Formats: sequence, structure tokens, C-alpha cells
Amino acid sequence: MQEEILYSIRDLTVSYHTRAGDVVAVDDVTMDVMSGEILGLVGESGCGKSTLGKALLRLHTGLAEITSGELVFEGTDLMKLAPREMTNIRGAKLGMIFQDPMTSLNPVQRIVDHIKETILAHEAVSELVAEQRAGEIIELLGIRRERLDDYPHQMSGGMRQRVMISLALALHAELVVADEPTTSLDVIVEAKFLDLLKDLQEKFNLTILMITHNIGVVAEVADRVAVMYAGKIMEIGTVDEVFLKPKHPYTQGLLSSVPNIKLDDKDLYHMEGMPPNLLDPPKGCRFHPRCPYVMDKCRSQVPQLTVIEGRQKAACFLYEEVKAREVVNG
Amino acid sequence: MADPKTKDIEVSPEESRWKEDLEQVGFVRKLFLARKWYGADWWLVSISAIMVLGFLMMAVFPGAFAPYGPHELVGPRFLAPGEVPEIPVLVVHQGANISSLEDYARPSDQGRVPLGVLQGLPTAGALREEASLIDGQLKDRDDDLRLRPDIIRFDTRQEMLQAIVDGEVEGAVVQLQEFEKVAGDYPDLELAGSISGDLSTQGGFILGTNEIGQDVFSRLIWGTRIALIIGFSASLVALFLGVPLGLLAGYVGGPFDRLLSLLMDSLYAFPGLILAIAITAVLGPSVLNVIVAIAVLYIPTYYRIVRGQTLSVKEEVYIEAAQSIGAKRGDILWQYIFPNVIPSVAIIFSVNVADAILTGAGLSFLGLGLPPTIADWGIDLARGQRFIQTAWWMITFPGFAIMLIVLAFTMMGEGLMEIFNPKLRER
Repeated sequence: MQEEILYSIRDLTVSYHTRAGDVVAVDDVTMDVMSGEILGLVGESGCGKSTLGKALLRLHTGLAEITSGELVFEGTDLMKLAPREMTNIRGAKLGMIFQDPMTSLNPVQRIVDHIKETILAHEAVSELVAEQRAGEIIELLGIRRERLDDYPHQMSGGMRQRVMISLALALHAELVVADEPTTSLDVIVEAKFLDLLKDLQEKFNLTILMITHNIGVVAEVADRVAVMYAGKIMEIGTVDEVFLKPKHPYTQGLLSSVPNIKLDDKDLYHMEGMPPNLLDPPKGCRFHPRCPYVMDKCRSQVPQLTVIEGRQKAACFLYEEVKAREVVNG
Repeated sequence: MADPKTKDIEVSPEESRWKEDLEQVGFVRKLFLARKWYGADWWLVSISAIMVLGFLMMAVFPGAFAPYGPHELVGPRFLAPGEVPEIPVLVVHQGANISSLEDYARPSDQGRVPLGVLQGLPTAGALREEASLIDGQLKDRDDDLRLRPDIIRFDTRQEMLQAIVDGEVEGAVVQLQEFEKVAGDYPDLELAGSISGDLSTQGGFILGTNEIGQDVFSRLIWGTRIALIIGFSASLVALFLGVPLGLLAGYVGGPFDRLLSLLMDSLYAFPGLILAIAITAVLGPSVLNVIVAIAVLYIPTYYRIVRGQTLSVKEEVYIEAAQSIGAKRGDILWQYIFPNVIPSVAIIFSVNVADAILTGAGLSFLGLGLPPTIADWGIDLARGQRFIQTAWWMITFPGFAIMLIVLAFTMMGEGLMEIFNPKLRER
């Protein structure tokens, strides 16, 4: 695996300015996306993972605002770009696939026009060339060329989701943010879609940030995985590291909550408590009210992501102490 | 990498066959087949579309439908629908070489011309009126010719016609229908011509005549034109101003939106007709001013609907998706928001045309909208209102026409709304 950083998120904070006050949905997140990898981003609903994904393209609208941080993509800080320059990068270098393929295509536009528009918005080619390329892309994704003239409502969910990818592929976007791309697909279509995604990733050396709450999906396709809780990254590492040897108590809880056909109802783990209200997040570690290993320190200080083992990092004081002990002992 | 395993999640065979069937038939047949999908709504739209088309034809080619011009004085006044006008005609002895009253003119020393009329009928009055008119013209010419009838009254028609045969009178005035009934009994007599009025109107007027002898039916058809002109132009002007403003306000938002919405809401707060009355009262009567007054009335309708739709469409995922592929703001507004908003505009337009026609008619009924030289249903209504107790047909038929045209446009709008806005349909 290449170790080249494609997209570097530095101290990113995204807030929603609501009437009740500022909701910090992404709080001081620092994370690197490596070139050519599939990075899974998992977490509960409302933990800020979609907000983080949209922030990568600076696609926040309405109440949301990136209050601080840097988004370094290929050596430039996207936060410093003018809106017009950002528009040029979207679609050309950064793409996005949305959760619900039923609503993410313009109902009054033919498929071919969607793809053509993407190409024509960024490249000075003729309509004919653009149409030709649209046909090539769509065939690559296993949709017959004749269906280019269809409207979105004439296609199935899986096909529409493939059309969404074709928009990202039309200009060979380097990073595709896939925001729960398989949530609304049934398991058979989902499996095919994930296979396709993996194939494409290998073929085009695509980098994908896969946002999902489905641990199984991440385990199947991702190279690395980041676990998010209440606007913060709790743990990040390779899929094997994180899923086989979870370090953070939240990751441990999350993994034991995944239903398994071999388990009885009674054995399924229920994490105590509720995700915190982001209007008034708990002081110190955000997970401390629900953490079974909570210490005094957790209530007042915020743990930082630190390397635990290999490429695995976790934001937890438990391991700091273990390490400190190791240092003392060693 | 056209993976064979991704191929089989394409269309099911039933769907594709269904689609092909529909592809094979022409557009007209497709429209006709659509009744299976839409049922009652399809009939509603079809019937109203035919009605609208009929009104359009009448507006474009009024001459082809109307027997007379809008201002032509074509017959007796206050003739009821279908009532045959009484046409007094001159009956003379065959070979008398008389074709009109004027032929009876003779030098003043030769005395009076004996002419017969029936006792107790208005024909005597008509004869005297017409004769003195001609006599006056003759006097002005000053060539010593005069027309002075010696009016002899008879009790029965037989006596009078026999008197002509016997030579007691030189001619007689009879009503055309009466003479035609008995003409066979008097082979020696012939019809010279009418005293007043046109012989061709003997079929009557299907919707009657008004207080100055114009054909109500013809005026009805000529009035379609102005009703549609006002309806369409006012709605179009309102549309072309309201839709872009609504799109912009909804998309841009902020202070621009707030200011514009305030303005539109204050326009909307006026009761419709009152505002139109105020505007036409200031601008004066003309077609253009009526259009302006009504257009101002409807701008807020378009503005509000389009702004609201824009606000909701703006939040759709496909707008966000469009941003994610790098679509520019103008493109998003024009290619993504506008086409998704326009169906509701088409529907309001249809209903709006009906409303504008109603308002236009209301204005001219009040005598504010159109100059009285234009054939308009509202003006006819206002004129008919004065004679409502004696000539019901003068006010009834223009009112009925307004009702029909409004019904046609409203029905079309409602039907289209049901078809194009399936969210409203029960599933």
C-alpha cells in the first residue's frame, strides 16, 4: 500500500449555527487520507460523519460552517480557495456519492445529461465527445449504453447508484466521498455494488472515503477505518487492527453491538446511555459518561489521538497510562 | 470491466416489453392511451382542452362563426332568441311595376296614393314613418315629386288583399309571414319589397338582439377574442415577472428575499378586484391598462408558489449532488431548480387565465376596464343588466359564456395538476 498522503485534514471544526446555539458536529478532527486507499468512517447516527464527508468538498450549506481547520489536498489548502476555484475542483478531483440514489439525481434530466454536464463543466470538449465518453463510462459500470437516454425514475436503485459513481469517474476524480452509498440498497445489490467499487478502486487507483454505520461493509471493503463519536475521531487504524484488537472502549462497545446470526438476543450488547447532546457536550473525553473504564482524568481532560500499536491510533487515557507504565517499567 | 454479473440487474422483461409497446405508437395514440393511467382526470383534461380549443378558434376566426359584425345593427331591437322579426312588406298588384315605397312618388297635384293597412297593427305606424322619411328626402330634392300616402284601414286581411285585386288601393302593407301563408290564394298579387328592415333576417337571431338591434350571438363570439387576450396576456406578464423573481428570491435568500417577499405580500394583501379597480381608475380605460392592472394582481401568486417550490427543491439531494460535480450556481438554478418548479407554474397559469378573464369581465362590467367600442362580455353584461326584466337573453348569454370559459380553464388546470402532481393523488 502506498503511503502517500492525498488529503490531509488538520484541526477541522464544523459547526451548525442553530437557534439553540452552536452545534459542533465535527470537533477538531485531524486525519490523513492515503492515496489509493478505501478509508471507512464509522459511527452512530448524528456523530458528525456525514458532516465531515461534506466538509471535505466544502459542500456545507445553510446553517453549517467550517469554523476552523485546514483541508490540504495535493499540497493546497482548500479553505483558502475562492468559491469559484472550489467549484472547479468539485467533480474534477473530488467527487461525492450520496446516501439515497432515489433522490440524488435530477428527476427531469436524462442520465446522459448528468454525465455530460459533469464533463462539460470542467473540460472544453464538444457535446458529441462528452456523450461518447458518457457511453463509455456507463458501460464500464455495467449499464447498457441505450439506457443513457433514460430518466432517473426509469432505473433501479442499484443502477442509479452506479450512475452516481459514473459522475465521479467521468473526470477521474481522485477522492470520492461515499456517504452511506449502500444504505438504501438491498443486500444482493449492495454486495455487487461493493465489488464494483473495489474493482474501480484498483483500476483507477481511486481513493474512497466510505462513510457508513454498517461495520460489515467497512470490514469487507476498507483498508483502514476511523471510528467517530460525538464529532471526534476515537480510533483509527487498519481494518484488521481496529476490528480484531479494538483499543478504545467505544470501539469495543460498537463492535459488540453488531448483530450476529450466531448470537442469541440476550448476548447482543447494549451500550449504556445515549450519545451526548452536541449542544452541550460532556467535558473531557466525550465518551466518559458511557465508558465502563472511566477515570477521573477523563472527566476533565480531552484525550488526543496517539499511536498505540503499528498504525493504530486511539484517543483514550487508558493506553497513555499503560504506555507510561511501560516506560517506567522499561 | 463490463462484469457479466452486474448485467442481470437491469430491466425486467415485462417492463421492457411495456416500454416498447408504448414506444411503437405515435404521440397522438400515446395521449389517447394515457386515459388508462389517469382515468377521470384524463377525461376532465380532454373535455376542457376541447372547450379551450373551441374558444381559441372563436377568438382567432370570429368571422367564421359569427353571422354579423360586433357593431352591426342587424335587426329589430329586443328580439328574443329565435323569435322571428316582424317584417312589414309592401304587396302590390302584379305588373304594377312597383318595387319600393319610393316608386309611389308623383307630382304634388295628382293627390294622394291610396295604400291599405290592417286595423290595429303597428304596420300603419311603420308605413307612415317610412313614407314621411322618403317624402322629406323628395322635398329636399325639389323636383315637385311628393309621396303622400292615403292610409286606408281594413278590418281583415282578405278584405285588404281583395281591395288590391279590385284596384281600390294601389298597394298594402302586410307582415311578411302573414302574406306568405296566403300568397297562393291571390295569384294576381306580388311582393314588392320590405318597408323597413332586411328580408334576410327572417330566420331570426338564435340568441336574440340587444337594445340597439345588434346580434347577441355575434357579439358573444367577437367578445371571445378580447376575453382571451386579456386572460392570456395578463397571466403571461404576471408569469414572466413572478417566476424569475420567485426563483431568485428562493435561491438567493437573505435580505433580497425578505424585501421582495414583503413587497409581494403587501400586494397580495389587497382584495384582488379592488386593486385592479384602483389601477384602471388611475390609468384610464384601455386594453393595455386592463392587462397591466390584472398582471400586477397575479405576480404575487406566481412569486409565492415558485419561491416556496424553490426553497424545497433547493434542499433536495440532487442539488447537493450537482454541487458535488462542480455545477455552477447559474446552471443549478436553470437546469436543476427551474425544470422541477415549472410544472406547478403551468398549472397555476391555466387557473390564472380563468381568473384573469373573470376579473377583466368584472372590470368592464363596472365600466372601468375597456373602452365601450370593444365587443366584450363584461360590457354586454353591464348593458343587459338594465333590461334584465324585459330581455333576459341580453345578460344571460354573456354570463354563460364567461362561466363556460372559466370552467374550461379551471378544469384543465385542476386536471393537469392531478396528472402532473402525483403526490396529491391517492395511491
